[in-house]
Amino acid sequence: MESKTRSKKSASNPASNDDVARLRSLILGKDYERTIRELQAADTTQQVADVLAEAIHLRSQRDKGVQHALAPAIDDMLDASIRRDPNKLVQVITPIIGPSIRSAVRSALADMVESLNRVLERSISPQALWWRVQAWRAGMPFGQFVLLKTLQYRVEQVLLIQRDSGILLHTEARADVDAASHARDPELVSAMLTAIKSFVSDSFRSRSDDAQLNRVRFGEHQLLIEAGPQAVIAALVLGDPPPQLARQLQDTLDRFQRVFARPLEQFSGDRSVFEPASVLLQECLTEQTRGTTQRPWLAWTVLAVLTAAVCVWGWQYWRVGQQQQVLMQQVLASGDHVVLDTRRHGDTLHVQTLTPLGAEPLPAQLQQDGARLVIESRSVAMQPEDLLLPYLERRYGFGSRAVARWHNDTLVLEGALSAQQLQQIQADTWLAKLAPRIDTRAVTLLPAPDQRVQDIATFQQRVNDIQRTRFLFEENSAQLTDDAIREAAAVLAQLNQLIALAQTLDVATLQIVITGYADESGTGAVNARLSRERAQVIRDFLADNRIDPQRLASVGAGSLIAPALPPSQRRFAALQVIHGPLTAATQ
Amino acid sequence: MVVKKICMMGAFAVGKTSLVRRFVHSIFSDTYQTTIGVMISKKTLAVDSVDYQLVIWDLEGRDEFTDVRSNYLRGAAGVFFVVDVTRPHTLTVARQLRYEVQKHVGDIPALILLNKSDLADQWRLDGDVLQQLEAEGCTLIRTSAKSGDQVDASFIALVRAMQNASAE
Repeated sequence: MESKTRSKKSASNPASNDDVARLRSLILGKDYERTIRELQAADTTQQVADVLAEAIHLRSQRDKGVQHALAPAIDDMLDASIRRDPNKLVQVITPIIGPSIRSAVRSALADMVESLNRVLERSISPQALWWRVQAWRAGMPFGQFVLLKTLQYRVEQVLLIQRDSGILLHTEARADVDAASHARDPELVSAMLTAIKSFVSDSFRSRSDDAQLNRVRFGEHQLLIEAGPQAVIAALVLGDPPPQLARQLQDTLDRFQRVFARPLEQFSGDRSVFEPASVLLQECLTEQTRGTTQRPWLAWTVLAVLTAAVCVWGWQYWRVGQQQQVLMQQVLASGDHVVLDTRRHGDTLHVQTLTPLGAEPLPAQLQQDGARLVIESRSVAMQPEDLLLPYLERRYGFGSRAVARWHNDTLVLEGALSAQQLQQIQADTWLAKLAPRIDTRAVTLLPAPDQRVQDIATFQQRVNDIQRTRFLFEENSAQLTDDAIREAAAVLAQLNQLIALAQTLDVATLQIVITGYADESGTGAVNARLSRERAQVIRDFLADNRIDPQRLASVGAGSLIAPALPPSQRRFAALQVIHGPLTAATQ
Repeated sequence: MVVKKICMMGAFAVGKTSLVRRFVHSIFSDTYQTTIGVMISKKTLAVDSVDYQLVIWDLEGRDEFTDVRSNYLRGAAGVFFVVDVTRPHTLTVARQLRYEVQKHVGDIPALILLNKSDLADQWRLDGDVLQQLEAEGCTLIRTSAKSGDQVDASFIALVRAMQNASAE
């Protein structure tokens, strides 16, 4: 009371207040105001700290103002925290979602294995084959037939209906079932079902007060109906449901009526209040298959049988291939025949050979231990002037020193030949058949050079000959022209001679690079492919004729840009010989 | 979305099914097909910014010799009593049905539809009886399933009556 009186007095006297302030300033000095402000601030902070939690609690009960006010700040804080140290977030959420992720992965893997087993069981087992036949006879898709055979029952849709009005309160359907299987219009189904139930109840009331329609069968489906005091639950089931399902439906209905007792009582048409019931209804969407015993042995048996079959087939293929190679050796043993092409079709190897005139003909077929060679021999019509004479020049390496000509059925040789060349010509039985009379009177014998120098010269000559050769191909194809086929035989002989010489001369390396070319008529990609194939054809030809594949390399060079050449001359493959150094002195 | 069940009741061949077909599908056919038991349709409409789904139970025609299947009426939020204006007897049946409905499901919103009002020259209803019904609080609406006159308005009026009943 006294202080009130004093404050009234001081308020009524401003001059007195000023005096008091001045006196306070004189006594307490400059820091007085600052100290007062600090004390007030500390006091305010303490007061806020004391009531903050209660204030937030009270305000949260009233409205969502606190959440709205704090949400942006919390978002920013979280954002800043994650940016500063993302690992912290990972450490926090890993224990929470880690088990879930592992569980999901395990579940997915198990589902995949289960699915594989199921597919195998339904695809290759005798029962599945029989079912396929039955499904075909029934005019039914196999999947549907399997479902009917393996599925004991499956609840496809569940409807909750208000008992009196027949109004649909909520429905749930399986997501993995074709929508066509669901009730087309659940609202109308609910109402009609209620009408039918009412009709049945009215019609049979006299016989039993408990008369209830609780099962409707149509086709492969059944409608199970369980009624409660306020609601009805109906389940659309495919197959034959067990008695437990009816009990489960009744339990679900009881729980629903218990949980939603008040909304059911106050229901005025707004069924959104029953949406939480979806959890209850989804529990009813169950299924059970017949004979669900796992039979992984079936999958393993199938895999084992398949593996064994592949092994047996592979071994048989390899064995026949070996036998075919033995037969091929027999063909090549004579030395007179040139293999142009080999193609294998199962146990049969089709061989195309080029047989010079006069050579011992090959049989059309050779057979041994299940392997078969079908030989297609092409005899070369070697006209002496056109073919035989150029061939002889290459065969015996006449070079520019000697020539061969045909005169009155006599092969006339002229020029300088080595004694070795002359001996080779005279001893050649193949040539003897083609040219019974050989006139060598005009031949002058070259003085015997140093053998190594001579071999080197021959080697280089053969290299030049081989590198000059162009194997021409048919247009837009990897098929050799007839001329090129004949050329191939000569090149093969030269290559064999070259390889033998390389061994004699101890040449360190000898590689044959086969380069294929195409003309410019196609696209770049086509030309690249075609050039590769052409090089490969020559490579295969040489490899088939006992040229060591290790020595061979084939490349496609694409199209050859050489406008001066006609297109036919731009479709070819050429050989390049790469070898180690040749030295005259023996190492 | 608010779901409501409403029932169509009346004597034989007064046009209950035609009214429903006109309201739900906007079609009309002169061919008479008697309804056996009940035919159920649904229609969504908005009244005063509220979406309603009406599940309409079109009950088979009744007369004084047949009982009302009370189970069909259970849970109904509103009912139409349909009268054929060319047949006075159908008004009597409607009044009986009104009494039956009140007995089984209580005092729910109801409208009396004076159907076939396009046949004005064949009007046979007694005006005194109609006045008496109005005096009893009945709402009478002249409708024509054939022309569509007042059909939609009748359903909207019933929905409004149901709204009022709920508010009370």
